Amino acid sequence: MTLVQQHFALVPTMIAVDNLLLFRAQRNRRTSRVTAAADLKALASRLGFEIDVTATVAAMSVGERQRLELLRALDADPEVLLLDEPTAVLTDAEADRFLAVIRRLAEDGRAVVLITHRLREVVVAADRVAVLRNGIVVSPPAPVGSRTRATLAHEMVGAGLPPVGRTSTSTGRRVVEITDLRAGRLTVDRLVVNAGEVLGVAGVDGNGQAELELALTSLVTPDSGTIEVGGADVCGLHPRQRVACGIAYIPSDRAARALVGSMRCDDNLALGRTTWRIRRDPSAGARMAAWSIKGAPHHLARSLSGGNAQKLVAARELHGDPRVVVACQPTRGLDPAAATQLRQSLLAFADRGGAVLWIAAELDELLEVADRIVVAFHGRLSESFLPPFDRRSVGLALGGGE
Amino acid sequence: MQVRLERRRQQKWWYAAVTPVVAVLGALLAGAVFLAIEGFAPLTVYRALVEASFTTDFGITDSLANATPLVLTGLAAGVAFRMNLFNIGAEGQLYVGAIFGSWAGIAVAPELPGVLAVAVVLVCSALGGVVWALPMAAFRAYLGTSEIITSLMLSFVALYLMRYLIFGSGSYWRDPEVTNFPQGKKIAASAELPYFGQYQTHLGLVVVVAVAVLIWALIRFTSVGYDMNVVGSSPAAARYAGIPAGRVVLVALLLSGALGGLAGGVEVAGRAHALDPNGLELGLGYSGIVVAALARYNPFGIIVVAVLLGGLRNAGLALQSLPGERVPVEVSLMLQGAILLFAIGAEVFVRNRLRIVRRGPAVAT
Repeated sequence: MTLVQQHFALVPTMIAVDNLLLFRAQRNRRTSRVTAAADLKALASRLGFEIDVTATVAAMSVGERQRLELLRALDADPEVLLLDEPTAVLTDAEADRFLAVIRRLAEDGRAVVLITHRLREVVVAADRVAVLRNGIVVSPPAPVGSRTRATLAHEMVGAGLPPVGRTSTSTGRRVVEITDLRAGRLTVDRLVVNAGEVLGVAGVDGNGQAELELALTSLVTPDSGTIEVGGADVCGLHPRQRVACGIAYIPSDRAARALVGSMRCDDNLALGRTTWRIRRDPSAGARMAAWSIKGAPHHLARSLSGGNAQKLVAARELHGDPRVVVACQPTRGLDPAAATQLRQSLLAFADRGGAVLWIAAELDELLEVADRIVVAFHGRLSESFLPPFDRRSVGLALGGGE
Repeated sequence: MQVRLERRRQQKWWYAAVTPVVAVLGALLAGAVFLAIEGFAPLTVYRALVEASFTTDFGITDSLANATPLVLTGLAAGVAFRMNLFNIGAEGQLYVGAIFGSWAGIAVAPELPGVLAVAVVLVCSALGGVVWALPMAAFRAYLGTSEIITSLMLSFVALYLMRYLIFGSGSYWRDPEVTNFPQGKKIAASAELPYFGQYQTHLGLVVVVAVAVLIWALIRFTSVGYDMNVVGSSPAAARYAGIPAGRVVLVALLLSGALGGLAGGVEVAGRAHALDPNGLELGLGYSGIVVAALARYNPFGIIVVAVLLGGLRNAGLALQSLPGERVPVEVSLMLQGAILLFAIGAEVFVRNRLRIVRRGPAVAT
């Protein structure tokens, strides 16, 4: 039996092949690196992935790591395969290929358990489906049969999702203006985010979105170019000046960076916002309640579930009227209720005249929330797509094709 | 059947209180085995130990005098350890603090009135600790050098430096008028911490408790303490929040060094009254590690544990003169070591819970 966890179980300092060998050793099947590298490549090509077998995990993007996790699990040739949100950061096309592979594995006589929030995957790939809500099986395993995404979504969220729609509230006032930016693999000639606008940045993970995220939040200094926020250049500022510049930031790797697990929730609400004298914010409880975070101010942040943790990050970042929110995969891996709440909060922020730069690998979500979409491919950003979005042309841009 | 450790998500508040008690009981139990093997009656020895340290007024005050420097070395270790910075060199920082403090006591203090004379000794000793901690702190903060190695190695340098100043040279610290066994020059009487009546306990006890409160307030109420918590727990989050990790590490290690140096100053002004290697080489710095670990780095816990261990050290001598049973003085040190081992072991169970899982034949994973 093999489990693929949602959070990575790779050794960051080791190269891809060694991470594979690490698990083989456990099965008393020591092989040479050369053999293992060939196996890994063969497996990758069977899945339609590309992977650099000699790259260290630390140097890989989140998407690349996820792919390595999948490959490593399949390497064990397991009879039972447990997959926890395996396609969370994959694009539709990659996910489809992956689903085809697990179908094949199932037809070979293996059992596959697929834990997913992506309803499409259930409809496309599953034989039977069980629905869990708040730790309770609300719908016991039964053939998928005639169930559709709509009926499954209804079972998952109970009362049903409030409709989320986005009519542009862009005022045309520029909040973020990027000119001639070069940072690592990323080249941006010009990118503007207006007040009241939700700009979606789509693309397969590892096409320069990480560089955009880090440059916008002063965590890396760009090689050249300017990033203006509210008319002032923020390039090369110290990260602690980010909040004062009006830049809110929901990072892609929230568990590792946006919260300190061993500190209390109210102390986490003060992260990046401290003065010399710490008074615990007496309104922390009220703020958490306003975001319907299940937990008390004195609880440690690591005791929160993924959805509540992300709400805590958003509660902190959206506090104090920032000019722009840089939101990276903000709903990745969240339960539908939390994801919806987060989505609505970010849209409400735009309605109030804030600018939102929303980086996501999942296209469906961006199509739903964005006023405008650009696609990142090989470090470059495409022309803007405007609503009504043409799914096919955006999808084509994701693959870099005309 | 399989025994498994699983990480706890939330630690109950009372774990902090129960853990040290369990650790001490465990250490006493283990110590009893060794005592029994050596032919002593464990209960008699333990009763004598408690009686010597905690029942008579002289016993209690001697225990408190022993505890005084341990509070500071415990804080020195605790401040750093809670950030996963292992400054184990409080021993050396204490010696250099004593060298600086005794210099101030000889050279500067005679000119000054009482309170200032004491203050200048204590401030100079803290400064000495900072000076000695500086290479370790800077290398750790900006070059990533292991502070464990540098702090430990520098402790030996400090030890031999102190011995050299008294035994090996006609230095400023050595008393030229004593011709038989080399001794340190006495510091000015005004620079001595006054005793409480006829007892060994001195005003330093009040000083160290005040320092413990200050450290607690620093951690709890200031951004310095907040930044130390963030950098210690999650360097990635510190970077995200724009907290300069290098500077915070530097400040924390220098603070740790200052506390170690201050311990040296308190010993010079309180008990030794001179740079006296024999009176200072008591392993107070290393014992501070035990104090901090057992107190789980809590400043108030450190005070309590320091009193406990101070009593244990004090009892060592009393045990030797136990009628009929010549218990070696090392018993108290053995127990101290056992307490540290059990405290560290107990920490595993605070962080994790033990589960016994029954399962069938092993499945390949």
